[in-house]
Amino acid sequence: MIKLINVNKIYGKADSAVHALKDVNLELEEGKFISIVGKSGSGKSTLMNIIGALDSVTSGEIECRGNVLCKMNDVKLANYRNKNIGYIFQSFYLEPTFTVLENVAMPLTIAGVKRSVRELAAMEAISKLGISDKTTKKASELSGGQKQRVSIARAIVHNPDIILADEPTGNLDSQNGSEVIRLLQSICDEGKTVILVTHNIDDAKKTDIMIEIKDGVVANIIHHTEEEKLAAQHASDYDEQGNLKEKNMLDNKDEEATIPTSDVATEGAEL
Amino acid sequence: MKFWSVLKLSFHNLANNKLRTFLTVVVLFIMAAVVMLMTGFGMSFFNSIGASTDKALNEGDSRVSITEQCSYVDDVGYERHEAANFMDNTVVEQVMDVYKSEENIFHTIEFSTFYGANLSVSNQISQFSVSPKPMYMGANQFAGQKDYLTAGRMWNISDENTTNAWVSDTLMEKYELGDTIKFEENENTFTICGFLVSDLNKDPYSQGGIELFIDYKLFDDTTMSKTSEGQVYYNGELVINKIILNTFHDKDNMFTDSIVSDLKGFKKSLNSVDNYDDDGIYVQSSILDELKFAMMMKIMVLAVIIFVSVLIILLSIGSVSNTIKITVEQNRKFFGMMKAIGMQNKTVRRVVQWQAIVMVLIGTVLATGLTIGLMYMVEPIVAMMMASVFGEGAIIIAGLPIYIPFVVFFALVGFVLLFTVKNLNKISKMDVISVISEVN
Repeated sequence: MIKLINVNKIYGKADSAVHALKDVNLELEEGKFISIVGKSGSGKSTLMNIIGALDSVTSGEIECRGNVLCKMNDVKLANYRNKNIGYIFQSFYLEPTFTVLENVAMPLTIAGVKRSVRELAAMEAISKLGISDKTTKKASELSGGQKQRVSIARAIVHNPDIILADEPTGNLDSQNGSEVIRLLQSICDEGKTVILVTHNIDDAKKTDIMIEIKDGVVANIIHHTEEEKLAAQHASDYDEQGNLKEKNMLDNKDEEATIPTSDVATEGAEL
Repeated sequence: MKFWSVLKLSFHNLANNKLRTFLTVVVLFIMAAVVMLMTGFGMSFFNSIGASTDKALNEGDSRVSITEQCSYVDDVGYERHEAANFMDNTVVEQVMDVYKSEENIFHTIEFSTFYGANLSVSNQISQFSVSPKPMYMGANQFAGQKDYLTAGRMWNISDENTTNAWVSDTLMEKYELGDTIKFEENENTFTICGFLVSDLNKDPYSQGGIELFIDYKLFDDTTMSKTSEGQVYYNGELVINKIILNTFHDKDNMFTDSIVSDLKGFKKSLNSVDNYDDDGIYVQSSILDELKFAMMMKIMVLAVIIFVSVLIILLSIGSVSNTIKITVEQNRKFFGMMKAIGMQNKTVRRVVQWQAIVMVLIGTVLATGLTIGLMYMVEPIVAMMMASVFGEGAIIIAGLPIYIPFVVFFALVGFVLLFTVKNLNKISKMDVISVISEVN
């Protein structure tokens, strides 16, 4: 269970202060696929960052699986992130000069896991994401869709309890975006809590719980039934005439993605 | 995070910025090489000075001079001859005065500065003393008073301030007039070399002087001590390792002329007297002056080495610190990401610190190789230059002491880490959210 009790987050001071989150109270059930939606600046990313121990609260408490994050120091928070959280970012955040294997294994490297063990775990995660043939490729040599798969593999390699995905489809085309949502759902099906931050309502409809944030407050919490989720998935997979849209990436995992080259350029500029 | 993983990340970051890494290493290489070259050649320089001094002190080269022309009558009525810078081979410049009086039948040799030594001879040379103060042996004090020449203690002159310290040995053999007396106990004890100008068997009143060879020490008024082995210690440190003893005898009242003549012969026997001026005065700068010059040169060279080394190390530090600063800035996103997925601040700092250490290490290793190579290559040139200053045969190329590269390496690493603390603290203060937001 993830509990947020009267969480406030204020950036800046005095006149320039921005109240990003206002008295947010939430109880997020574990093992669910949860989406946080809202407009830009609504506070959804702030909420995710606080849950992910990347950011601190101004007031209030946050408790994840018995860990009170507010009481942890920097070292404990770093360890907490390393062991309990898997991050997926819109811009992938892979190290372009590392191989896929090295990128995926990075959380375990940081944790000081023995090389043979971490490579085994990384290979397993890579295999799950269907990019085994890219293991020795440098991240800079991958397409956008492949990069996001690597990013997802990195997020799950250390078997964290919570996966946080911040606009993971933002830099992907609809097919790859849809595929990423499928992958997140499959991760959730393995008992992980997946929190998806998105401004894409269609993606959010495919999750178990959709939390709408508006001006820093929880405006709405919608629970989707399996039928609703399937319908949303169907809508993204088929066109109005009922024809299957382009072959999805799961069935065509080796195919070069149709990500615009500008994404690759963005990735290359990371370091 | 394990050490090897940290090191791998450091290498990775260095490799990601090859040009900057290369340039920084080049700067470090040049700086370290200059420091090491200066140290190596500086030590060669020092050694050469030392060798030059040793040569002057130990080889008994042409540093003894005699001036017969400077005789005069002192207040007491003695004719005095500034006969020689007899003790030139010591580090103190001393003047031997040869006294001649109307009645006296012996000579007294006085060393006008620092320590002198006198020898008394009866039937055999049995003892000599090294006195901390100039000694004056007048005719009235000494003539005929054989009782003073007692075993174990040569004399106790009236000067209360004189403290005799003994370095004694027994000369068992007999020598002929003009013989060089030399006996050595062992390599660690003093050596007595003398030039016998008297018939030891005939005349009980012989006196002589000894030349004290000491290494780099100047005596002061502190009493010297002795050991039973005959070594002379000063403040607990061996200061006299060789003594040349010159004895003179004037039974036949030959006095100055014969003694000076013998002294000349003595000096010639040392292959030393070959540079008299027109007045028959051997012209040679005092070894004391040379030692002072050498000392001054040492200090100057040392000062230059220290100054330039500090300057260079500061420049190196500036260079590496700047590289670290740029590294931290350029790798913000990488470090931000690492922190986001759980890397601790101290680990990130270690990655950056190892980058600096690796660069310093590469620069130092290259510099060490260059320095060693260069020192061998330019040794003949340096030797020639030093020979022009210190003379042939006094050149020692020290090479590069093995500890110098380590000292340079650790000094650079230490200072670099010290001066990069501020930049490294930026990592701790790095806001992961803002870093991620920059891309997202």
